[in-house]
Amino acid sequence: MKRRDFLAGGLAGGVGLAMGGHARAQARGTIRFLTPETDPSQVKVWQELITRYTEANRGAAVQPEYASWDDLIRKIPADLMAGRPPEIVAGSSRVSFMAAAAKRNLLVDLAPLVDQIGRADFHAPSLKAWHLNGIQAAIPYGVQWPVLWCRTDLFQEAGLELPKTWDEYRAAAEKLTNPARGMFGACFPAGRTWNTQIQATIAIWGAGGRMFDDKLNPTFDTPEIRRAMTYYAEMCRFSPPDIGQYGFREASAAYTSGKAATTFYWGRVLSHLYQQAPDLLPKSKTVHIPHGGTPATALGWDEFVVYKSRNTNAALDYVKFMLEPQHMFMMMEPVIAHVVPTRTSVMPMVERHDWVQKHPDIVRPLIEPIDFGISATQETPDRPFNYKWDAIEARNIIPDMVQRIVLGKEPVNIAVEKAQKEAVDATKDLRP
Amino acid sequence: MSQHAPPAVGTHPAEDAARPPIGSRSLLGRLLDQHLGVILLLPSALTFLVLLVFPLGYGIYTSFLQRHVLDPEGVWVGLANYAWLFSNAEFWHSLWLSSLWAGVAVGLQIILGTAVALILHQPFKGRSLVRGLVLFPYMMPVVSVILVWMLLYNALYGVLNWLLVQSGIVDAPIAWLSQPGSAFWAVVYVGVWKYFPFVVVIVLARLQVIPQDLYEAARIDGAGAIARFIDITLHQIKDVLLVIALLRTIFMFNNFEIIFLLTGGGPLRSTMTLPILVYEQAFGLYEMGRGSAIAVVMFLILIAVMTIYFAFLRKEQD
Repeated sequence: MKRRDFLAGGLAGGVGLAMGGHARAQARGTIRFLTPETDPSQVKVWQELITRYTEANRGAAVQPEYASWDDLIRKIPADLMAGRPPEIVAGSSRVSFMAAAAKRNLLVDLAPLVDQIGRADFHAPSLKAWHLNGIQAAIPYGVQWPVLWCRTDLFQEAGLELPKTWDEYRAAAEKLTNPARGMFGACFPAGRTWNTQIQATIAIWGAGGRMFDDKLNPTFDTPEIRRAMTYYAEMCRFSPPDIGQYGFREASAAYTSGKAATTFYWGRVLSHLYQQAPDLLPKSKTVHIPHGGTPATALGWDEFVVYKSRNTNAALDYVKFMLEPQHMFMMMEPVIAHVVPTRTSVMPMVERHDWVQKHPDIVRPLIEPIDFGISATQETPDRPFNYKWDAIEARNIIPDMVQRIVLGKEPVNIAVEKAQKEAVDATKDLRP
Repeated sequence: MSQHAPPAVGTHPAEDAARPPIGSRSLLGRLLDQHLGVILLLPSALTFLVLLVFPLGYGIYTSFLQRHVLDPEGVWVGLANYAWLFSNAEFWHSLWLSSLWAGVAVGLQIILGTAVALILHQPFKGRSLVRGLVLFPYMMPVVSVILVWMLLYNALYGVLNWLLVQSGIVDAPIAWLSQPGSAFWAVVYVGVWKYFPFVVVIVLARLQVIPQDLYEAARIDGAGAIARFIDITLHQIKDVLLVIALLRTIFMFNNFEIIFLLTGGGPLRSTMTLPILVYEQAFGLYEMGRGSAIAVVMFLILIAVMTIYFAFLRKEQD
């Protein structure tokens, strides 16, 4: 064969292969499934669900993708810019960001799917929290709130009761802190992270403060918020030295490594203890987060969001599959008590779980209904959905305020005043 | 062209004779025959256009828009993003940090890399093994390196703090990455550790081709070790060091992953270099226009650095 003919043949073959590959990729219609739930045991469940689904639905393909909790919300806009968002996102879709996406018609309305599955079986307030801009923007499969994890052995040794109020907690943290022994009484995060934002927000609510008034004007510069931040800074003195970097994982690891006598966290710590420090299980108990006069905690959800794409129908079918009670339970099993299922029919399965049976003192505050959970986008029930909250979150206004106080040693009143200025600036041009 | 046209320059007469008459070939065949070279170049040219020219042009275009990341269309705002940029203290702070980061990290990489290359140029037992081991940091994936260093720096269970406390150098663990004063230098250290082997490899290769008779002649002339190093070694490796300085500066100035993974730009913006500011603007605050404007300014700065370098190089060659 002559060289020119060989090159021409190669060219024709290459074009043919490229076109064939493209056609195959189009025919396959792979569903991209993005989630920050990346504990190895949970990854195993995602894989198992995908295997079961694809075996039952020949020709279907699901591609799992994983991101960290703090990065996921930034990965989605990048994908949207590229014109190919993931079809399904499970967890970490902040309510305010979803409201912005719903407003721009980027999301599939999941209300028909809820009706198809059976609306009566769902936790109505959770569905309502994700009903944004006239559509069911997400289906929450779990509702959750953080609690205070406590080392009962250390509390007993020091003759202390588990704390209910700020004063009790401050006294206990001080007594339990012993840097020479590498032991810290508290674990208040001060990283530029979502975890810091949530914990600082809970402190603000626990002092009776609100970040917005009923007309959705920012109200950061108030006596309640100054008091909350003063308390937060004090408690950071009894926290590990590198809290300036703490996000979710570090806050959990400080407790499971035996270095922190207490930490704020959700139920996931239970599975971390089983995996990493089973000896701490009998020495652990949870209580609701101590308050400064007003009991409060942050309500959060794990949820499925479906972005509009050419695979919408396939994505909806897979979400429906995952929402079947036995599959929902499979998703929760590796991190049991981390979230409370939003389907009534799943709850009995959770209650029968071995870990729940064995550790009622740990699990009870995590799964028994509470009436003091607050969502940042709805700080009081009688006000409209706070469309401005996304701007506060995106700009890290609260973690920056915490860092200025805790790491920069800025006086609380100045840091709070700056936060107010930033909040006004960030929200002044926003419209519902 | 007729059948009787003279053969093309450079074709073999036998090959030409074997080719069928042009009039008898199909249109596609003739097209391939006449334009095969161009057709074969097209994939490379298209790749260049799609992967380089288009993103660059699109980035520059976006810098003139006010565009929320969720909006497919933006609003043309002219130079407003640049006006915002140049009046923004955060931008100047990040520009200063980026310059400091690139300058200090590259400077230390060159000093350390050259020193190690000089040592590895000397004969000693196990030299081949050490030469291989020195490359280790450079070969490791960045994410693995960062995870290792985060563990080393950890205040609760990090080896570094444990050694410092055990040896009595400090009373309590130091939060290396959590304090504005130490975070920047902790990040620089990782940047130097990760990339100094690149300098070692290049300098070592250059050292091995310096003629030994230069050193012998200098010795005969009575030059000491320092004089031989400055007048021969440094003089010989100067050009290589300049190339390394340029390449490493471009790379470190644009480096995102080391700082982002170690500190995310914090604490208190003490490591907020320009690439992280771009990321924060574009994907944190959803301001694609402003993010693009910063990226364009970074691009222009690097073009300026390259221009200065090439002007300097030309002057040297003249």
